[in-house]
Amino acid sequence: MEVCPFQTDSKRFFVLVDVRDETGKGEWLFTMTSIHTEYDPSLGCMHLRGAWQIQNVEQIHAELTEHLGNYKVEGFDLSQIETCDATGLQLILSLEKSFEKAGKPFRVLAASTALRETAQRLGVDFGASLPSDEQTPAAESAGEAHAQ
Amino acid sequence: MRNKWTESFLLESEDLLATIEECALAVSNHATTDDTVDRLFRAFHTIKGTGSMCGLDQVAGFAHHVESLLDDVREHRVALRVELADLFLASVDQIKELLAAEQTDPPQKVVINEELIARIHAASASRETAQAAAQPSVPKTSAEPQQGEWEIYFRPNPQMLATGGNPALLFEELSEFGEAELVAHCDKIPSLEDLDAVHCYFSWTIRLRTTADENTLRDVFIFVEDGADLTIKPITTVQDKAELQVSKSLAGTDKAVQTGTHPGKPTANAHRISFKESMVRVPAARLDRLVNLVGELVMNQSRLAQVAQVVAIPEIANPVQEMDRLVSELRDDVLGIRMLPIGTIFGRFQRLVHDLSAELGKEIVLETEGAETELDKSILDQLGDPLVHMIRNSIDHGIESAEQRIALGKPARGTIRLSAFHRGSDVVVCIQDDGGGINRAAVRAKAISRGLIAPDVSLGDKELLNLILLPGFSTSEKVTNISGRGVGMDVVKKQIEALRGLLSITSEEGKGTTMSLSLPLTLAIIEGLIVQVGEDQFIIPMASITENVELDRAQRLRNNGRNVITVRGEMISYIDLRASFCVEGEAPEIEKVVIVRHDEGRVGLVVDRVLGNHQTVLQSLGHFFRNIDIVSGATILGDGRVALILDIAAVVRHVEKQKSNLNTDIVELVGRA
Repeated sequence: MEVCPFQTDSKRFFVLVDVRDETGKGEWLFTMTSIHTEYDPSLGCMHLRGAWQIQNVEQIHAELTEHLGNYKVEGFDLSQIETCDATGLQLILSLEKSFEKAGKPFRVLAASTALRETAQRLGVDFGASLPSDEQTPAAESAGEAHAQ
Repeated sequence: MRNKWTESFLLESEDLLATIEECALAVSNHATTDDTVDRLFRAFHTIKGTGSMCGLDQVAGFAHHVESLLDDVREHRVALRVELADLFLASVDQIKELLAAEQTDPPQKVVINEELIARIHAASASRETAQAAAQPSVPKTSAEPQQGEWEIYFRPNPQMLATGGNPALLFEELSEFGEAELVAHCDKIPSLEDLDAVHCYFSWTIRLRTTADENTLRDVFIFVEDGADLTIKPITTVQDKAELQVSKSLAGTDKAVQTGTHPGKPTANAHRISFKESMVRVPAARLDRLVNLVGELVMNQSRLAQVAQVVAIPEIANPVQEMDRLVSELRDDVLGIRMLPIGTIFGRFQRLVHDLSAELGKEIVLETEGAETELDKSILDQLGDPLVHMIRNSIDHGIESAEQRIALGKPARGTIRLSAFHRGSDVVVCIQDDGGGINRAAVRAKAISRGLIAPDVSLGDKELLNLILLPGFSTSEKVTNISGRGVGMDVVKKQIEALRGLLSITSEEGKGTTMSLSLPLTLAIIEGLIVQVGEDQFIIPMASITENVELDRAQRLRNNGRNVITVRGEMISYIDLRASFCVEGEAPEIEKVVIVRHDEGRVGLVVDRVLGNHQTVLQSLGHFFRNIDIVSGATILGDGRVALILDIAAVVRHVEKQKSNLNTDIVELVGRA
């Protein structure tokens, strides 16, 4: 079996897995994986992105736990969360709870429409935690810094 | 190929159909409770909804017709009449047929019974006249439904998100009924280190202004009710509204409303819909494997304990003792998982009695008692058929027709009583009817005509009654499709004995018959007595042992070859296991007789020595030894040797057969001479 990963953009990996046997029978499997969390050390900002749904939530949970142990995170950019369900929202609230527990402020620099809509549909009121605009200057500059 | 959702639905539908049968029979017997109609409605609604989700359109379509009828009943547009019970039962049969066809490979197409659908529609169409008949005392206050305010508290099953549930869809559905306000309670969500990412920690309070009634609102949650906490209450008082206002202000500023003060906290006035213990369905095969593994563990622990006793090292003794305690706990818990209330099979007999009594034109009611008595699932699975046969017999042969009963001064309606209770380490199941009882003269005459007994033989009452347990015996004058082919009770007896159980009959002519089954709680693990014959060791199930006595050589000689021993004035015949099993060597001077219960009597098993008790797990002897019926299994002893577990009933049969063959040989020899 041969595994051929290649990156298409900053967010996703595509992976081709060769599951043919020695006679050449079988097929190439095409799978896709995403990076849901990325730390920008220049701003101390953690970018959260992609699909925050039940299918990925355990993987994201593991990524977040690992990153928070390794980096000093000052704020979160939630503007690139493309889809979000109750488990994704719950994970963000858990993240907030972790910061509260550690006595640190939980700062959200920006939040995507998808996240806001899910929060609204599930009756979750973030109060002042979420900034009013989808893309704040801080998040834009964080995104620019990341692009460079 | 079916997906796992369909598999899950097929399993769930068994429970739902059982619920429908139970409720329908309650309707039939005028024994409905407040929630009978709701339970019926929900069961059909779930079959419709889940069936549709699984692509079983025929099932969903058919369930829809009955659901509509039940909606009419629920809304008092149609009266809940006894005749509807037959419609519900026929609908169960139709859905069973559709589901059975779905389980064939490839799935078969079933033609839906259009006549049944027409009858369901006809029952629905009678709604206007029914309303007047059923609800004369309810004044019609207004043609327009009234606007009301409701407060709904919903804490889903923690597995709801993991199983694909989407709470947002529920809230959208609710908001279609009117103006809704939704508040999420997030205080239970833990920090990342303690989070199970797919577990649902949310709960919600919804306040709704709507014209919809409580049933309609409850239906929104119908698929997510299991393991959930759902409270729906009307907001009527000023205090309620004041509380609402407070909670509203809390909700506006803080999403994590404290549990102790959240507005959805159930109150005394709240109507609690469901608070079920969270359940998990596990395939029986997995449980069997678990029981087998624990069985291996118990056996090895037993061996370890024996070895520890022999080596007598204090450092080993303590941990072995502790391990012994833990293994015992584990064994009890694992066996407990397989224990099911016997009521799980009682349900089907209600339907059996209903259908057969209607077919025979008899009025019979089935009363059950002790439905909560638990038995191992493997025993329950094998108990169904014998019970069906005995209940059929009671209906067909036992209970008289209504006319005969009235003429005899009995109530027109006959009663079959099915009860279960614990007696010692056994569970006793009784099938009792108030019919005509067993006609001894007819039994005796039939036995003589069949050549089963000689005309001049004298039999005690029990022996006479036990004749009906002989193969091919039947006193029924006519063969019906219900019973009476004479191929039943002997099979029933064998099945009960295969479960290490005993069957006994008592009967009073003119008053009724009682069949009692005494069954072990479980088949998996037995307490046994290890005995030795020659170099071989055997295990006799402790539950069947009544006592042990000694038998010395002088006493044997005095018997002149008759295998009988007198114990406190009671003559007990014994089986010499050394001779029966052809064990070589000489018996000791003083042998032991282990006296066991058999067929309502007692029989002795002569062995060399009694070694002690042993908790053991039944291990099948496997394919190669399937014809050896005198042992029910084998176990491994502490020293690694295998001991066979004796099946008492089979050993007795084996010896009787040996004797019978011997007699035949003697007759042949005499004939040749």
